[in-house]
Amino acid sequence: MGEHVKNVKMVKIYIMGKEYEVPEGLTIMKAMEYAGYRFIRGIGCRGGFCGACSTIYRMKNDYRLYTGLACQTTVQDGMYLVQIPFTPAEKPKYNVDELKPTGTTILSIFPEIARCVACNACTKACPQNLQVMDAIQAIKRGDLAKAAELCFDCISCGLCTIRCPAEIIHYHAFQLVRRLYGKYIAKKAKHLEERVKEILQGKYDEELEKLAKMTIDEWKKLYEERDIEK
Amino acid sequence: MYFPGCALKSTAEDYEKTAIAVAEKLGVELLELERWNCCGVVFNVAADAVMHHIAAVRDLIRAQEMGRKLNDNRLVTICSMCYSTLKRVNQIVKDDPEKLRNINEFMDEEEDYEGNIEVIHLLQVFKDLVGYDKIKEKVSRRMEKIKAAPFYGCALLRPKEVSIDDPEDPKIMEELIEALGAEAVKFPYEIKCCSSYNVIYDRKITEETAAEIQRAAERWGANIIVTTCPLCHYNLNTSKRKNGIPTIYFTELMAYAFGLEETLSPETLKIFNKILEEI
Ligand code: SF4
Ligand code: SF4
Ligand code: FES
Repeated sequence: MGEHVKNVKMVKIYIMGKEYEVPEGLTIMKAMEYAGYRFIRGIGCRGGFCGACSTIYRMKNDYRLYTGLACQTTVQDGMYLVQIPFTPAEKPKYNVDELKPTGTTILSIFPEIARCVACNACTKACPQNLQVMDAIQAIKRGDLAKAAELCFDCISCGLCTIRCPAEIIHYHAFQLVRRLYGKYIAKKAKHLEERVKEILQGKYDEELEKLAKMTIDEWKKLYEERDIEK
Repeated sequence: MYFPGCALKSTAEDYEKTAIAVAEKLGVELLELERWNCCGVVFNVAADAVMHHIAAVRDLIRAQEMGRKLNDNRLVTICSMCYSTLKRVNQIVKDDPEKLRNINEFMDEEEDYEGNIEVIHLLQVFKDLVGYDKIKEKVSRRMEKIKAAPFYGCALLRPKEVSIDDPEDPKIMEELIEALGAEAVKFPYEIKCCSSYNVIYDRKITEETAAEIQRAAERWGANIIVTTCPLCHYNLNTSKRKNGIPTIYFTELMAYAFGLEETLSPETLKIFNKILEEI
């Protein structure tokens, strides 16, 4: 191992069953890279927003199966882990313009929702700490506004979906909930409509063209000197 | 405290609306559980599978939490199926501490269920807590032209351990109908199964059963059927007969008798107006 880690405490982790010693304090993602893995899938933003880096793990002497985002969870001694880069699920096709914003609509596309046994495994799995079960239950009783509110921060990591004994595809269903909510139920944002109108009228065309012609260095300078909202 | 269930929040909104309104008129405040999930529905209870009892126990825990604040352990159900599921699961876990312990351990994110919640049906609230005399006092409309056949179906009466009345010869709805000043028409099919979830697999079965039940009620002189169950309500109203008598919720009959027309849907009002015109 390199000089620079000499004084750092090392922890033992098991990636897909193979033992590695990695410096304490690293995220699972960095620890895996340290151990020599190169990510092609199962990685995206590195910031906890994209939901690509789902990981499941167990700890020594603990029967529980834990879930987390590799880019957000730090390694602990005795962690057995594997990444779940994708949760297999068909993406249903629908035209949101032709749908009615009701629970029945969602149940007709995702009939498995009716099978929820309220085990709460989804909620326990969610790295975003969402009340996933309550969101599914809200869909079941047709309360889309509540469901949309509860699943607003879903990053489609799929960890709930992989744990669900009713085989519900939460993240696709939640996307539909938010689409229906946004289109039919939520109050329209006036300022947004006005801004879209301005854009369509070409108000920003000139500025965009100017940006498009700038060099990388000019871009960087512009970025560094930007106004930051306090 | 009361547990609404999914049907009352979606397909049977009129049922919930009238239930709350008539209860209020009788001085009973129905407080919806602050948080609840689908009870899991009847057919799950048939299997001796712990997994299928979790939903109901979770609701009982929610009732336990809220009941502590209200100092009340009664959980009122309105839908027959929710009544049956919650009541039966409650019974099962009360009788089987081992099973309850398993469930409590599985749900380690919740407080333990202690088995102290009492599940009752709204009909029992009206009969035992309010009393039919008080109900009589609130009637503000002449009801004698309404000949209502009570239809119990399965969930309120079977299995007999959780029955709200004599499972073979129930009287609770009949007495309520009479207290409202309407004529109660007891008919032989009152405890028949409406054929329930067959509606999903084979509509013909439910359409025919519904027609049979309607025909019987008519033959015994009824002009309306009264039910407690959203599924019976749906099935009976989708009979294969075009001009069969309509089925309404018992709370709608009460709302009409109490003069709470504003809580009734235009369709239900039309049913009542039609009965009064015809005679
Ligand atoms: S709701 Fe499911 S898919 Fe969405 S963030 Fe939580 S665990 Fe991931
Ligand atoms: S994991 Fe599935 S069955 Fe269990 S509560 Fe969540 S949605 Fe329902
Ligand atoms: S890489 Fe995007 S959430 Fe972890």
